[in-house]
Amino acid sequence: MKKNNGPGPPRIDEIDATILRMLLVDARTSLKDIAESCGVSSNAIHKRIKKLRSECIIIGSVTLFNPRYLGGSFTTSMELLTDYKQKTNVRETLQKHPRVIMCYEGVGRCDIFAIISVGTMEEMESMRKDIRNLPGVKKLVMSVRVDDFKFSYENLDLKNVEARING
Amino acid sequence: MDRIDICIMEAVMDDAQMPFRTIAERLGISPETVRTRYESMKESGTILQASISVDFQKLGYDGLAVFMITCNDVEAAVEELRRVPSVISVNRTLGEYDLLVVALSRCLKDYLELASMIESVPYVERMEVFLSKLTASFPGSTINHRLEKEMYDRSLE
Repeated sequence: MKKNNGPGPPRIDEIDATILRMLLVDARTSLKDIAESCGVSSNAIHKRIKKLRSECIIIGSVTLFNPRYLGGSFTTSMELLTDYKQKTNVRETLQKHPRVIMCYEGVGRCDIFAIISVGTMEEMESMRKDIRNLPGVKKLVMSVRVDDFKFSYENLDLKNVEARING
Repeated sequence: MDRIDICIMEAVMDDAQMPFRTIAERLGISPETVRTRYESMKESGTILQASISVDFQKLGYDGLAVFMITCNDVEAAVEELRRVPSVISVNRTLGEYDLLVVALSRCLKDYLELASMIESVPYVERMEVFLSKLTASFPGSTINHRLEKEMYDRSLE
């Protein structure tokens, strides 16, 4: 096992993992609540958070709003098949589109996977047409999402990184 | 929703941890009002989630897996899939498949274990997958904030 100050990813122990998990679930969780869950002082938690920030493990924070209240009423996932040579171009163009919430380039069932949020069926239709007509796009499959688009981090293993990386 | 709500939304959009006091000073209202407004937006579901952005690569995660799943009992499958380790989002969809599951993975071995765990959920009939490299900050840089900004601009017209 690598030492704390060795190269490679910093070591995340149980307390760090709890801090990260609680702040991922709710960035406004108070130091006091985190301290109680960890059984250490608020001051200790404060120091840990500062360290996690200085190590750039915590990079920032965002508030996600429900697209339904923001002029969007459907959240739709979009799968694109593209010319392999145009894949990155298409992804970059998509990423600039104001209705695209997230957009990834990869392999598997599709070449690009995106989540978009649109206000009306007409808007969805015109967006579909625009994207379908981008150079390099061969096929576009959409599925409307039923649930609100959010993440839960309760099941994510955040500690013990080195042990996993080193085998 | 009025102008104050929108100003609060804009303030916390890229800094979910901004103290209510700072927002209050900026808007010339009391921190208590900011808190009440914030809580009520959370309750109504306008605010979905306030989250830190983490560099998951530093925690050993470098892969994002999206599973497109067909199943015979959607509700039951959702319950089971929400418990699978590394799964961060389970969404019902209307279309070619029933469920969209997003998970993070550390390595191929990790991914294969995850996939076989999903396969073993009793209601899952078929799954297909999309794999991608995880970007540095998640969800931070993957979420497009222009949507909110646009809404804000519109509200000022």
